[in-house]
Amino acid sequence: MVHPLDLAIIVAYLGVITFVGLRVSRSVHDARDFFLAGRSLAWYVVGLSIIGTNISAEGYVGASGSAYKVGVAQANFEWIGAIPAMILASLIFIPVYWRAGVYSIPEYMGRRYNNAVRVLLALITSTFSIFAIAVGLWALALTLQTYLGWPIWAGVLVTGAVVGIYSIAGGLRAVAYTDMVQVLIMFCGGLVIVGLGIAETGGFTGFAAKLTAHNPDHLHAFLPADHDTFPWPGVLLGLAIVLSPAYWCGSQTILQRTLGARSQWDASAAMMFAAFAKTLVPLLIVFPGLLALVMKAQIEYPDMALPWVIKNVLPPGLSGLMFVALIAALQSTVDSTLNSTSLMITRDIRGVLMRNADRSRDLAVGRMLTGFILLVAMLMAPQIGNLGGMYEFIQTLLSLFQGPTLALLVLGAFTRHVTPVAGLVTLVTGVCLSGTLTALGTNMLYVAFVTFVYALACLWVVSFFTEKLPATTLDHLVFRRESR
Amino acid sequence: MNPADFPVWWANLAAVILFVGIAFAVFLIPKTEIMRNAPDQSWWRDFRFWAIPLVIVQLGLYALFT
Repeated sequence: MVHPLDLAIIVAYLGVITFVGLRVSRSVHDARDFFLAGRSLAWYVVGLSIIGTNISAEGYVGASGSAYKVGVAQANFEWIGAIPAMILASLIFIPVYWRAGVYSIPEYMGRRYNNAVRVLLALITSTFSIFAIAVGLWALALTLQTYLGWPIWAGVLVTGAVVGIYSIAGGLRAVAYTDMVQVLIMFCGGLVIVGLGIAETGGFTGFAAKLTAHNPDHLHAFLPADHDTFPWPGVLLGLAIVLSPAYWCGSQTILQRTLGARSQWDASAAMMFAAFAKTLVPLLIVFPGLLALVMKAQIEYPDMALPWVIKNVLPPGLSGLMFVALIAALQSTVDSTLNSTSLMITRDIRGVLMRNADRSRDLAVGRMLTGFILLVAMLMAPQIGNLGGMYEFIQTLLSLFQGPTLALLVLGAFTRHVTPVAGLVTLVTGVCLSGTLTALGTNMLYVAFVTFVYALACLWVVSFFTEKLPATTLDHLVFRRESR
Repeated sequence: MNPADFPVWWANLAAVILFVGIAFAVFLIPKTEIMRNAPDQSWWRDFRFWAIPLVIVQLGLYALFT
């Protein structure tokens, strides 16, 4: 039975989020307002929205479970697997995208290479995103079922309706402001767990001593080179050098809010600010896993670590707050993915394939697509438990693109040498190589690194034999060190 | 040499080199590029000075969890 205080907090949260979302929705008049918030967002709003989009509910639960298994090494995804790439995004890629004046990363790729690259990337990313939204809705419905006893369909309906109302009405502006509120709730909930957990285990020293008594590697950031999941060469080469920059410098869902900032300076500042916040994220998503281990939680599998901590460490009221933090983590990812998917389908797929489409209808089409994508994801959500294999397949499919896509981004943004045809050839052959290596059972981190190196070489060599874009076009698309 | 034999301290060294390298590399970017559209030219709006504490914190974390 849920404590009435917890229930009141959950109902209050849903009310506040809907109110904030609708309140900031009033100034949406065209597609630029809907997809880029009229380029009006302040750096701190964008920065917190980036973090909210980055932390998903399943990631929240999964990272705690992984920390329970491997310890602090899980935090590499938030530190070396994020911070260098976020600095790169802030100082190099965001200025490049701003100067190009694009709405999306596929649009930038389309201008730098060609429309085939643009449509291909938008198509793959959109397909993955619809599955990701469905998985997110399903994960939350499952949590609502466990915690409140709601049937799955009711959980999907309520959360889908709340997200849908403000995402369809307010677009990116509503998404960014609600993300900001959601991240603040997540940090409050997480810090309370840290405080209570440390107090209950005898302070930092007692916590560390109990943790390492039976798990000596759990306070080591890097694990041995022959570790099954996180071998350190894989973490450095695959995660830090390829997967992380591909995500932070090339993910439409993450970067769309920086393109909605009120200036290029605000956009770069937002990413830097997000990097500071990101440094603290392990407190929210890694610490609960370690705490469950220290407190000798009786759990069947690692992913139950966070729910166990919520249930056993937090008093009534605070467990409601933490539950709300989980809902917030889910909603902030779903709303952002919804908006960015709608943008890619409206502009990067419809806009290219239907050249005569009326661009003045982009706002109406974007809103309609947002509702349609949400509806499809809501219909898929209850079936996700049976589609687990297919979702994993889609995730693997997306990871096949990371190495080649990053090579296209890096050489495209830094050099004038690479050509449109080389871009398409590299993307197609690089993905084939990724698929082959994955089929041979190679660790995903090594696949990412090998295909990235291959793609760099292929793009460079093929560009010698194919036609370059005019210099005047490249002026707006390539990073320049204008002056010292 | 078997990659499994690579010692973990190589990873810590590589992390230090990466972060220190970033701290130096950010100063290769011209200030004019960084301050484009900044509301004013105050020194604290220069992101190169935001990157330094960020890198120091990372170095501290990796030193702590060696």
